[in-house]
Amino acid sequence: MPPKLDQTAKKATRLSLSQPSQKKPFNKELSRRQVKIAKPVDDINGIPSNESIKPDDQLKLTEEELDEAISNVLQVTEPPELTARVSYSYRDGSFVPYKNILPFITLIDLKSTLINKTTECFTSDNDKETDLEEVLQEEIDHDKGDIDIDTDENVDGRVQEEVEEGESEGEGDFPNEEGDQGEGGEEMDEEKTSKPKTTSDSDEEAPVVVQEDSTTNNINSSAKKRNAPKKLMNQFNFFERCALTEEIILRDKEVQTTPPTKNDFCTYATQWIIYDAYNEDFLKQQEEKEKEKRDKIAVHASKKSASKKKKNDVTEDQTEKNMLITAKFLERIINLNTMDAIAQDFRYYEDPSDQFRGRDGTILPLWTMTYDRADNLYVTDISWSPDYFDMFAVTLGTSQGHLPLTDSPDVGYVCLWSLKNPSYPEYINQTHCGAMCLDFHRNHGFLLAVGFHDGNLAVYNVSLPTKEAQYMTDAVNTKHMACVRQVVWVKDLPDGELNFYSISEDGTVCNWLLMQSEMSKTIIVTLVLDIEPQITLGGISETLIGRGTTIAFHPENSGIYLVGTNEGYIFKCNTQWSSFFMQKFKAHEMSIYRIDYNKYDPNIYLSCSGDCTVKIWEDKSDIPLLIFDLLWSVSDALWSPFSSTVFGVITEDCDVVFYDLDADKYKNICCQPILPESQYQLTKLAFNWRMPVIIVGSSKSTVIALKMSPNLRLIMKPPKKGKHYTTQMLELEKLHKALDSTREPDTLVVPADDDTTDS
Amino acid sequence: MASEVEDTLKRIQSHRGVIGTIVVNNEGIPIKSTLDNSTSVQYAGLIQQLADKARSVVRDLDPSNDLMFLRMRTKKHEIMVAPDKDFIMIVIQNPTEAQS
Repeated sequence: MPPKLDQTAKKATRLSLSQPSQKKPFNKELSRRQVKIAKPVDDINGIPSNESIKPDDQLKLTEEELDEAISNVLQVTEPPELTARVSYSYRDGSFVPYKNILPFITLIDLKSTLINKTTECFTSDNDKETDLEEVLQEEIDHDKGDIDIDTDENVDGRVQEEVEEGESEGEGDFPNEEGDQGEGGEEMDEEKTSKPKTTSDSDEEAPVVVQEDSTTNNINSSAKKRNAPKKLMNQFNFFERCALTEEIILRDKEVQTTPPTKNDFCTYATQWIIYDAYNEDFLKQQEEKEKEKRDKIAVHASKKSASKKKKNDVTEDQTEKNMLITAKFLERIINLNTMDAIAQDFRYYEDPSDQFRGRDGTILPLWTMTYDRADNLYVTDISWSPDYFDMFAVTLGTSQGHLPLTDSPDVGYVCLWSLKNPSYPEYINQTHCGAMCLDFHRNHGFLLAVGFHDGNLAVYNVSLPTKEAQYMTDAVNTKHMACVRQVVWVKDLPDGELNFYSISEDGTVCNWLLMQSEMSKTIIVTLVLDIEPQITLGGISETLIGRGTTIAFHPENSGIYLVGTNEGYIFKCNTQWSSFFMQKFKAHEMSIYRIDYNKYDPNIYLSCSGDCTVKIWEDKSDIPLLIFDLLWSVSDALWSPFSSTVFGVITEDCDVVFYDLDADKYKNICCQPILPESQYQLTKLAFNWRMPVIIVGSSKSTVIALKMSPNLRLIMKPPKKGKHYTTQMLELEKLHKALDSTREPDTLVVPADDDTTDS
Repeated sequence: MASEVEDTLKRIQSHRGVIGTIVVNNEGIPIKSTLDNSTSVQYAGLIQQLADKARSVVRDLDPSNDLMFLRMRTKKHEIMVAPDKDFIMIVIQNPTEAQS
């Protein structure tokens, strides 16, 4: 029977296996593998296992060759060293020769386990071995004698075996010797068919049966015996004592610390907060860069501390400054609310009645501005800002002929008014005496030249918070000897130095050059009146000096200017010659208050005087083209910047009069009283350069803004068809046409009498 | 400088139709007011919220822009708010009275 054969074969293998396993109890893995390899060979071929199996491609050797002894000797000589071996070095980026640094060569490596003979484990192991040998012997005998075993017994045996295995597992020594055997058997069982399994089970049963036959005491003792060594036979959780290190004992220790401070923080992160943060950071960086630069230059320590102190002040100042700006802004808005109607008129009202009035026009009073603290002073001069069309500066002082008594203090003011805030001046600067005249620099709108009653001159920078004058004349040496009547900025010098002219009642015209820290004075001309009688004081004859009152520069030729005097003379001078007048003639009987060049034709100019007349002159002529009698002292007259033939006049009895030469050479086109003449007196007039608005200054420091109706600013429109003319050309033509009829024919001899032109 | 601010505020108060002037610091506390205490506090608290909101609206639309001024025309008054970084100035005016 093949099963029987199998059994015997198996028995043999098992025995052969069990032998080494007994000697090396831990070498279980090896035995198993051997069994596994042997098994399939048996099953598949059915050939008896004792016959050697040869692979097909095995080298066939003769008997002699097989018998030949081949010696395998361990030699002490050192094997040749490998020289061509290289390794790649990442550090050098190249291959470097590999050097074997170790002075030894591993020839053989054997691992072994040492067990102390005297230990209990070893002795008990020996006992066990002998026991097992006996058991195995019995087993074999039993198998040979009794082959057929009852199924019942088989079942019992199985159950018992399971129990035994459970026990061994419970003890934690699973791969013990007994378990080893049992397992090995079982594994073989699984690979076999059902029939051989039963038989193999019977194999296992054998020792159990034997044990069953013996007394219960015996079983117990054997169990005890098995249990004792089991613990030590395990190779998985067995550690050599010498390899054990001291166990580190872990302990928990609790320590209480002060709790970290908690702060609730919440904020928004909007786009603009981020934007601001970046801006701030950018500024800081810029500052640091500048600081580094400054450090490189090495600033004195004292200066540094000073700047630090200043910084603190600056932040406080900034808040106050902001506050002031905001407050002023609010005031403007309140004014806008209060005077909404006037503001609307200023922008949009055009008198609709003008179209039924022919060429006559009207003026509409807008705001009345008064600086309350100086209501006893006169408005002595007005100048529009060149930068802002709604801002102008006025000087407040004592008028000529109203000189203060010795006991009353002589004060003056320079005020900047904005049409946006008619209730209070934007800028107020109190001066040491009556301010008489002022002028804005055309290109630097913050520079204000001011002339004073006592002959002093000053230049203010109104953009600075300080009220100190930037330049001031010296009281003794440089100042004028009498009241300054007019100041005029002129074109900067080629090297960029600012300079202005002043005319004073001491009869001199001076040029002032703004140097680094002071003004340098140049007397351009002294207005000598070449008339009799010359004053004789103790035999010394004195020349009469004209008291200059007004100055007007030629708009195109900046070297030529006209000067009017208190005596009614007009001097035409050139800045190049100081001792020679281009023209000198008596124009008025009384003091000339203003000379103004026409805005379109610089050959035409007008003059106004206290003798109640306004005269229109042509260049190089002593005879006026036109004379207008106002029947009251004329305080100011100016050509309109909007039309070539229109000029405005103010009289001391508070009338504002407009003439248009094109419309009527004999009659005014508008005459309106604007203030009660019993209380007020008009002093100065100024046309806005952009809006149809005039400013009239009066006594009691009152300034009135008036809007000109459309008829007062009629302008020639270029024709849509035909030849193209510019407005400028048309305006010029209009002016010439109006004046042509008044001009004397060239062929006629000029009559001696001046009044011929007067109609 | 400070006196100029004082003067300006005084002038504002003297304008026709102006009912009250309140200056609020950046913490929302009225530091100067011509109105009675409870009204001032109420105005200060409410207007500050409104100004903050208005500013965030303006700046959300364009971060480089900023709120300068806020006018509210109500049935009875006109409330003018000038918000700044460190303070808010509020003026309450009665425009109908101002124009008459």
